[in-house]
Amino acid sequence: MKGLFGFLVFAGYGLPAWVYFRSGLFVVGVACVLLAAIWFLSFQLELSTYPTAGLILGMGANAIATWLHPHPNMLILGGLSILSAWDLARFQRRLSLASPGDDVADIVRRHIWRLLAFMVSSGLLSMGAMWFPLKLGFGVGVVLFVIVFVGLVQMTRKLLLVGRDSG
Amino acid sequence: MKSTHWLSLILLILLLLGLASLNQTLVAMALPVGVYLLWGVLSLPSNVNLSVSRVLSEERVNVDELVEITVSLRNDGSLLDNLLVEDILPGGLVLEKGSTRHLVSLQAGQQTSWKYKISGKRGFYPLRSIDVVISDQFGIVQDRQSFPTDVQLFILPPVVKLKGISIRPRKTRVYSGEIPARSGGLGIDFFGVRSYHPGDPSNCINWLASARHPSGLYSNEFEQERVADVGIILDGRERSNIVMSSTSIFEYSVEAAATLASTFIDQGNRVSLLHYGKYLQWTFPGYGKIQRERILRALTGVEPGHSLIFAYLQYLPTRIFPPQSQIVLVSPLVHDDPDVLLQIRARGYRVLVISPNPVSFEQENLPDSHSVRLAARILKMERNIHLEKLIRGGIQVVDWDVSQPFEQVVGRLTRTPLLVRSMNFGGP
Repeated sequence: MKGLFGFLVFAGYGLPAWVYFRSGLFVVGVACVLLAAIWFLSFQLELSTYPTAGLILGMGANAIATWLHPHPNMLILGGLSILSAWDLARFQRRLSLASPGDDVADIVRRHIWRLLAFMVSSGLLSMGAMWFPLKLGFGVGVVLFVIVFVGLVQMTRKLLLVGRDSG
Repeated sequence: MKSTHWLSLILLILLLLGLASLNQTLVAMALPVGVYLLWGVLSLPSNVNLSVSRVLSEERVNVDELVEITVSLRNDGSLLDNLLVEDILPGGLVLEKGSTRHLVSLQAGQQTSWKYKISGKRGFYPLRSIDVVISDQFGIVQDRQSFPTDVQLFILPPVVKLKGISIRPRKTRVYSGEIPARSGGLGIDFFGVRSYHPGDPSNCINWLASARHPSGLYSNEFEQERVADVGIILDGRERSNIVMSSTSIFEYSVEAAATLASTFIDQGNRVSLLHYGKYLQWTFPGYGKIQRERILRALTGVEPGHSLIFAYLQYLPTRIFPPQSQIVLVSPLVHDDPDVLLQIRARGYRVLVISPNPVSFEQENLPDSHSVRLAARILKMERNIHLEKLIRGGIQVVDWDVSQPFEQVVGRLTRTPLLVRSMNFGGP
């Protein structure tokens, strides 16, 4: 599982890093590689706080890289890898709660197959979505924008509430 | 829920940026996040029908005895993946073997069970529920449920088997027992001589006395042996019980109270228990095995505590004990206790004091230095003065150095003639 995690982390950060390097943004590219290394290290050390930060930073790195106009599939794969790595990190934390007598191997095997199924299906869906050009009318665009904005505000409020309750 | 929040936030930000900048790649990047969320939420089991049971190998055990707990789960609903089962043990119980937490996947209709062993300190432990965390296939939505398993565990104080303890209260009850009743009748020990009554067996006739008094015959009388009322008072006052690191002298008091109660009940006496500490905990007088179980169960839950009212023995409600009965006080004693005990003795009660020695207990747990030895010597002298005061007042005292086994110290009471005397009471 560690090998798969390492591959996903370095793919998730490596693809946007390569885009940044190609665009001459060496510092940002190096930062991406460093972030990948930190996440991999925290996984080895079983630190529980880093995965969410790694997910946000990784998705951010991939999202920002889209404005540098690389091949879109590259960043879609990067985002998907980051998401899968985050899932594996959380899965490893859940596995640490198992007792020595539990059938961990079966649980791991099933989870990996499930994750691969998700990666393939959602990857194909995203790449397929790129074939259909996004043509929205102004009104539809504004309505969608407002809905998403309201959702974002609500989600931020909820996150703050959860943080206050748990802290 | 936090994971779903973070994912939703990322999804919304990607969509917002994608729509605002008409960046199709961002919208496409948001799709896997949406699929992941949707997969998680949809795979959360909707039909949870889980049967959880917990069986204890024994519900009442002694301290340090192992108890095997068997936890069984049966899934009568849909598939449950990544099921985390947590049996949270109350404080005081220690896991000796196995694990209280398990991660399992249960198919519909599947059953699983596991065992683990625990031990613990004296106490009453209600094991009310088992926590089960049900999650979706990716573990982003988690639902913690408690399943009731109403079992309880009593870890009883150690009880040492004693041959018997000699007590001699002024008043006894009507049933035959082992305590001399100060009245003539059927018995073993010689009590006196009285004039012959028709029906007296011939081997009871005192021929020597009859020969001296030709006017009539005389018979030997023996002392009746009966059961008595015994009230055990366990001193649970915080001011008299010393706590050193992880041990407390109170635990020795509890051990002594449990052993005495068991021994007195075995002798056929009517025994009651009063825990005098934070509040009064009274176990009504009774006979037999059921009463022993009641007292032992009462002793599992007792803890020393502080109360403004019950900080002094003068508020001891002695009237709850039958007049002229036997009172046994188990207490390390503090300086103002002897006066109260002498008052109780003056009211006609027979008083036996079992006193775990707090000075030697504290000295054992302190580093050996000249100042500690000197302080211990002064305290022992002070304590001896108090104990001597009690002995002079007609109170039986057992000064128990807790480094010695209780049965060894109190064993002398089983052989002691029925005189008021002190036990293990010597110089500093």
